Amino acid sequence: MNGQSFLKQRDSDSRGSNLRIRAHSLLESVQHLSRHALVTLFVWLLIGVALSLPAGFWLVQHNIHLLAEKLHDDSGFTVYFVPASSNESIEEIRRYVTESALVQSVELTSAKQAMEEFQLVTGYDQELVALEDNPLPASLSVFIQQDSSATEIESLLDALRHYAIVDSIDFDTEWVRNLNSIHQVVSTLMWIVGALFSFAVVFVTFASVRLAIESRFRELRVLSLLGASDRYLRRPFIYCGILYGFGGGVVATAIVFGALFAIRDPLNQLVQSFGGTIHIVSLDYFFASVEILIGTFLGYLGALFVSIWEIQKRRTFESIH
Amino acid sequence: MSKVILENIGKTFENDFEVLREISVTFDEESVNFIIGRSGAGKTTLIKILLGLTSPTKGRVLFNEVEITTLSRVEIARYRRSVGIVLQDPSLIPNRTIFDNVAMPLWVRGLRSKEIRHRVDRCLNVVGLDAVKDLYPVRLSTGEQQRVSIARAIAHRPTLLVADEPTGNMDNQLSLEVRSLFDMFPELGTTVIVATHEPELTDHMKNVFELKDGTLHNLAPHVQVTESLDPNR
Repeated sequence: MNGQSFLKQRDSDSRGSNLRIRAHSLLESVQHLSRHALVTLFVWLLIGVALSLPAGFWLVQHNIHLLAEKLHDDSGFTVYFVPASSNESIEEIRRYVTESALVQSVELTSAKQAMEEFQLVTGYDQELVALEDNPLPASLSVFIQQDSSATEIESLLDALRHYAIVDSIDFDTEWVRNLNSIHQVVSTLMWIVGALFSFAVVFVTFASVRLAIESRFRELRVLSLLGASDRYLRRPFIYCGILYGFGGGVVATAIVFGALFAIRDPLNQLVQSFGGTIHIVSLDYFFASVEILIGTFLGYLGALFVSIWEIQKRRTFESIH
Repeated sequence: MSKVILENIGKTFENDFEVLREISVTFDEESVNFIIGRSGAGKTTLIKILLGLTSPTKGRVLFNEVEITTLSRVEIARYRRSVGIVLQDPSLIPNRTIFDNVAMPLWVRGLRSKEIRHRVDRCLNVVGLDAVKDLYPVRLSTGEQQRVSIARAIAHRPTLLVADEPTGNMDNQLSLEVRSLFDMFPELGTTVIVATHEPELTDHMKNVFELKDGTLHNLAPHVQVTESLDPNR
C-alpha cells in the first residue's frame, strides 16, 4: 500500500464487493432470525396485531365514507300519499316539486306499480290478488341537488306537508348525517390508534434489535478492530428490523383478511339490505402492499434508531483489554 | 509494505499519570519489531495509539506518511483494514466456526466466497490448523486459538501487523512457536510490531525496544534485554 491510498478505499473496493457485503449482511440477519425462530414469530405476531388494528379501522372508515357518499348521491326524500288519492292531485304535487330549484329529479311510483313490485319481491301473488283494494300508497321519490342546504330542504318539506293527500315523508338525509358523524369519529380514532400502534411497532423492533445487538456485542468489537465501519456494523441489524417489519406486515394482512373472512356473511347481508348497490372495499393487492410497506418502513425506523444509538453508546467496545 | 513513524508521542491520563513521554521511533518496512516492558509500562497504551483506539496527548503517528492521529472515524476504519491485530485474548467468536472467525476481515472487504475460501484455507495452513476449520473455538487449546487469531490477522494481507502480548497465556514452547510465525511475515511484505513482557521472545531479534519510564530505548542484544527486565537488578 503506498502513501495515502488506504484512505481512498471505500467500504468496499467495487460495486460487486459492495453488493456482496450487503448480501452477506442480509444472510447474517436471516440466519439470526431463523436461529431465534420463536422470538421472531413472537415479534411478527406483535407487529402484526399492532398493524392490523389501524388497518381494520382504515377499512371501516373508508367503507363508511363510501357509503355516505353513495347515500349522499341518492339523497332526497320520499313522499307517501294517502291511499286512493286521485291521480290529478298527485300530478299537481309532482309538478310543484319538479319546479323547485332544489330538486334534481323525481320518480313517481303509482299504487299499482308499488303493488307489482311488492308481488315481485315477496312472491305473494295469489294472496294479494284476493284483496279487494290495493292497500299500498302511491309515492314520489325526490332526489335533491347535492349543494342544497338543510334549511331549504326543510321549507320544501313544510310546503308539501300542507297538502291533504300527503300522508308522510321519509327524509333520507338523516342517514347521511349520521354516517358522516360516524365516519368522523372512526377516522379520528383511526389516526389516534394508527399513531399509537405505529409507535408500538417501532418500539417492538427497537427492543428486539437491541437484544440482537447485545447478543453479538463481542463480534461487533472484533469487527470494529478489523476495520468494519459503523455502517457495516449497523447493516445486519437494520436488515433484521426490516425483516421484522415485513413479516409483521404480512401477519397484519393475514389478520385483516381472516377478520373479513369471518364476517363475510353478515357483511353480505348488510350489502343486500342496501339493494346490493354498495361496493365494500375489502382486502386487495394494493391494500396488502401498503400494509406490508408500512410495516417494513416502521421496522426499518426502529432498527435504524436502535443501531445508531447502541453502536454510538458502545464506543467502549473498541477496547482491547 | 508499511513504514510506521512515531514522533514525540506522549500520553497523560486524566489522573495526570504520564504513561508515555517523548517517544520517537521508526519501524521500517518489512521489519519485525519487539517492544518489551514490564506490566504497566505503557505497552498497551502505545499499541492503542498505533491502532487509533486512543489519541496521544502529544506527538503524531505516521503510517505510510499519513498522520493517523488526526483521521476521522471512517478513515480510521479504512486504516485498520490495512492492519492485522493479534491480542493476548484471541477474541474468537465462540458461536462461529474457525473458518468463519478467520473469514471475518474478508467479509468486511466484500471478497468473493471463492476467494475467501482460498485465503482462509491458506492462512489456516500457514498456522498449521487447516484440519480444524469446521470446529468451534471451544474445541481448541489456548495456543491453537491464538494461532487462529494470527491466521485471522493475516487473512486480509495486512501491510502492518500489531500484536499485544500475543503469547501472554502460553508456556515457553508455545510462545516460541507463535514467535516463529511472526518471523515469516516480513517475507510477505508485512511490518510487524509485537508488544510483550517476555524477553525470551526477542532472542536473536534485531529490532528490540524497551519501554521504560515512559520512553523507548533501542536494545539489540538479548542479554541486555533480559537484564533490563530483571526486577532484582
